[in-house]
Amino acid sequence: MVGLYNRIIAQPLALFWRLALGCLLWWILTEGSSSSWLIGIPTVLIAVLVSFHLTQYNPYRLRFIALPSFIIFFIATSLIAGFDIAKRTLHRDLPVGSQWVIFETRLDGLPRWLFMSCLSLMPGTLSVSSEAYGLVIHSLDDKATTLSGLKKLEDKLIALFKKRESDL
Amino acid sequence: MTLLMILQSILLISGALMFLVGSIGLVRFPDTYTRIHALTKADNVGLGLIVIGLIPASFSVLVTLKILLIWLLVMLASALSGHLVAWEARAQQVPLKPSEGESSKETFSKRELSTKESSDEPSD
Repeated sequence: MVGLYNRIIAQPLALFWRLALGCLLWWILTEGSSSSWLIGIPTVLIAVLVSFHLTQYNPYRLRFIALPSFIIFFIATSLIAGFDIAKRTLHRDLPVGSQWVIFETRLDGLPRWLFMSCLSLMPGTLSVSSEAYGLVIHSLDDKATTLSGLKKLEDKLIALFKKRESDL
Repeated sequence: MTLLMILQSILLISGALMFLVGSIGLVRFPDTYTRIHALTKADNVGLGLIVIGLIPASFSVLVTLKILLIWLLVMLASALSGHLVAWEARAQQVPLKPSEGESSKETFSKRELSTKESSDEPSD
């Protein structure tokens, strides 16, 4: 309990953002009903405590300036992925490969986690496991196509995060 | 107004069709891993189209934010659950099936082979 308290005190900015995000989510979920805050405030507080308890110290900061370009890239590519899989499904010959691809990545921590979540919604790739030698990915395409697609996503994620100055 | 309703209907119907395609993929695709591909990707786009189709129904900022939030959470959940199923399948050494229909020629030769085998061994 003391450890948790110290961790929260050490990151006042993280505390502020998590409280703000929690309140925003509650406000959206209850569609702005003012009487719901009686339950909302304790809920947000508990959620923030749990989030500090569950997460490790994160040395990365989100670069808000790179966020719009990432969101546009993500929506466009995941739309292509959906239509691509629909085309394959409805194709008479079922043009689907099935193979493992190992992707060595420079990402770690939060960006790596986000990379694995995003790539499952990208065309032809599915994250399977994260190993010391790289990420194990299942692919519907040949290796070259898969790797070039993953490289693009990796570059976008590198642009989206930067290390905190205090850790450099 | 009518034009908007037509646009909404197109979005909602195509969203539902994407869900249908995802389910067809679940039946048609050759192994566990490829089936997860079909479900996660097609359903994500299907839900996206339905969400965009529903936004003009309310014209309220809060309701719009709420359904966009639902989309985001479902997207996260489907990416995560897809990953977990694939991870567990690999841990249990579920094999990759050689994909049928890489090219029509290959499928043909496979089919030919199997008919040959069955004609050679009618007792089997």
